[in-house]
Amino acid sequence: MEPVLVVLATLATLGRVWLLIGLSILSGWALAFLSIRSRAFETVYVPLVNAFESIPVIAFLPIVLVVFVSRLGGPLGSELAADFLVFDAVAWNVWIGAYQSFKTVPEHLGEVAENYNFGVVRTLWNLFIPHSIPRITSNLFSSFADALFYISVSEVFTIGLHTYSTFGIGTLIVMFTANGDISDLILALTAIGVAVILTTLALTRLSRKAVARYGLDTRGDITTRPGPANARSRWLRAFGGPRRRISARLTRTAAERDLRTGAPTPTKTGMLVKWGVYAILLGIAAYILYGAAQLIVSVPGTEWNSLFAQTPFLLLSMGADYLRVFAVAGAALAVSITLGYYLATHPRANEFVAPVVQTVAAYPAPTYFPLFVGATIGFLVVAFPFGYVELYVFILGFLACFYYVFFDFWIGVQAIPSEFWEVMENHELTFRQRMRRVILPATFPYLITGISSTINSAWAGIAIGEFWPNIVGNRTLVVQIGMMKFIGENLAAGNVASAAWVSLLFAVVVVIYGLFFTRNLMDLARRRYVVEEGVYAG
Amino acid sequence: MAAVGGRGSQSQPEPRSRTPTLGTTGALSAETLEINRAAIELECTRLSYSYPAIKGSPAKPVFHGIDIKVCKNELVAIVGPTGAGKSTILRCLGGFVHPNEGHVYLHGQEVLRPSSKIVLIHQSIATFPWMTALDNVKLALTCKKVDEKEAERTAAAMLDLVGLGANKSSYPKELSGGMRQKVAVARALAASPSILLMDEPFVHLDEIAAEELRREIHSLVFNPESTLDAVVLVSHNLTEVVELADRVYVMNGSPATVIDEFGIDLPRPRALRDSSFLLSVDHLMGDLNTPKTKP
Repeated sequence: MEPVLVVLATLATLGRVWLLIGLSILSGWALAFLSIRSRAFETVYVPLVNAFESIPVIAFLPIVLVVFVSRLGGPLGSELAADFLVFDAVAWNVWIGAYQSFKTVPEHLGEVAENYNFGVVRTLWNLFIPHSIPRITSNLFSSFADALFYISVSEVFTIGLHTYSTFGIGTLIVMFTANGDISDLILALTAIGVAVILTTLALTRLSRKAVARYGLDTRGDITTRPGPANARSRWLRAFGGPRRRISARLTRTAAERDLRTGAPTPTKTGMLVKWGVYAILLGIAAYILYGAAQLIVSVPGTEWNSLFAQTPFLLLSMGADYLRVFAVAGAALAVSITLGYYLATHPRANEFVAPVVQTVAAYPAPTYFPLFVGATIGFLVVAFPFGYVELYVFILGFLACFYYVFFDFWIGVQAIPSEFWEVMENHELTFRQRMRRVILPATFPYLITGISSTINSAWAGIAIGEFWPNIVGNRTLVVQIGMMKFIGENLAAGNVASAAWVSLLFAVVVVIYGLFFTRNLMDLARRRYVVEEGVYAG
Repeated sequence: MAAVGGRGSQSQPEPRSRTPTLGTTGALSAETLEINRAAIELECTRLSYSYPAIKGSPAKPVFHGIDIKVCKNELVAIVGPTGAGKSTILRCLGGFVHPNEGHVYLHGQEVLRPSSKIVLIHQSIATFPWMTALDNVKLALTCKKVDEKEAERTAAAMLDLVGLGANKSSYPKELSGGMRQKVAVARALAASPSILLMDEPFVHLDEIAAEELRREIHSLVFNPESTLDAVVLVSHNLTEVVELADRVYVMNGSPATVIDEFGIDLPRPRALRDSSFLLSVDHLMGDLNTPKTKP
């Protein structure tokens, strides 16, 4: 294999990812602006984005197949299918970041815009967009990591006898793995490693510059005293954003207001932009609905009966997956709390370990997982003959989600005011007492966010790990029971309707779960566990 | 008429030996500043501290050669301009920050880390928002492995002492700034410390709440139930300092040094418009307006 091809494929993948990140930023600004201008739009948009963010990319495969592969077909269909899946991995995060930035533009700046009669375009350009840049830039870390995680699923997928692929490093990795071409696989993984490190460094610089230039709050930089709370390193500044978005969701201050009342008076251009975006969104929604309706109509009555008959089994499979997800999330939480607390209280280790974790987090586990399986399966089959598949699924799930809860907790610990640390030291609280009475309550909002993101991401790892044909040679990684296994097997068999049906069921459960579990816990966090309220300053 | 004595911006003094007494004449002169070493509760010697070097810029010395002695039943104030390192000195005294040079001794034993023998009250009032006022105070007793019922009784007594007996079940956000600071004071007293460090404790309160708390604080911290031996107060509010302190250390310069040390022997409660009181304030003002000197 030509190394040039690997480099080109890496560049193609990076180009695809960055192009789609760019698209998600542009669309995020437009949608965020619509949200702050129209309560009706906001009421639909925000819960929808939150719900979609929770659904693993793989669950969208049936839609992709219907809309892009079946209807468009050819290289364009495959390319658009891959683009859609990558977009799905990056967009929600960026969209939420843009929305929250727009919602929290300081009141006094909004008044300046009104005072000088900026109009829609100038207000967007001079106020909303600059204000959103630090948060969006910070969100790019997780967006980039998410996009890469799914790259081996997005760029190439097999339905029945057909394999659909587009040029990129994900496709090459799948090809090398299938052919057992270890040397080329290592070359490709090295190329991804270089890309990940360079991108992480570039994003860190970009994020710092964005905060320095566009950030309104620079308190984090003004630190004069050593100590855990002042260990808010440059990495916190760089990575704080995506997690801080959640704490911002929980801790709106009086200075932040709903700008709907202070938004600029609609002008002709503004109205045109607004209705233009509405039209585009409606067009996309209509196209997707049309595709879905066609699918529904094309399914014969007997197939529907079969789908309904399978539903109890599918719900059972979903239950098995939830057990896996909770096991993975629990382990990630335990490790994160231990490591996060250690790093937050050991600034030197923090400066070194945090960037390493961030880089590792951005390295897509599915790309190197086959190598790991190849190296360990001989031993694990003997050591755990009945549990080795579950162990692999657990590991992949852990690799997919660990860093979410880790960074959330880590940032939460560092956001604890220095006064609280001094009170803990002063009253000589033991580690257990600190955890129980201060650290865990203080980080509760961050933990809820972290657990929520972790559960969502754990699905990603489990989705890939439950059914992985030919992961090493002819060996297929497949669990006994699982919803993601069901989707994978049905897609491989070309049974799109069954896969789509279980995806729909899953989407419903995710939304219900989000409404009744995540939302309630977040409400509790908002009511009680706001650490910023603990330090009174006039 | 108060006679205010000090050593101005002269060289560092030799340790003096005297037990300061609070008179009712409102007079305290230079010769009354001698301190009896046996009465010293907390002492720091030749304390120096620099902010660590940051990329491209050298370490920044904040204060240098600070000697402070705090005797039994004394409320000692440290005043100085912003950036003189007053809060850092307080944290050195409490063992929260390690000085680059010098040592801190409590009852003759070196202070190496924070403990509940020396409790700090913060300027940004630190109460845990997820705990009630009672639980916030009880926190001070958790490390002492006090029985739960006993802890609750002690915490309730401390809240009664600071006048918050009716607010035991209130969460901090349901309390005013002054009430929150009283919770912090109650928590500090519940720990039965020897020394109380107060870092601008009234700075975030409105003037009425601050004045009310100032009037109460002396009797609160030196009440018969308290185990406190002494208090160290950091402030840049000169009226507050003269109102509360028995003795004052004035810091100035860059790096800051102690440029003056004098006692305030005015009867309590102190009358803010009394000429002796105003003279003391003027004296402090004069110290702080003295041209900054290098050590």
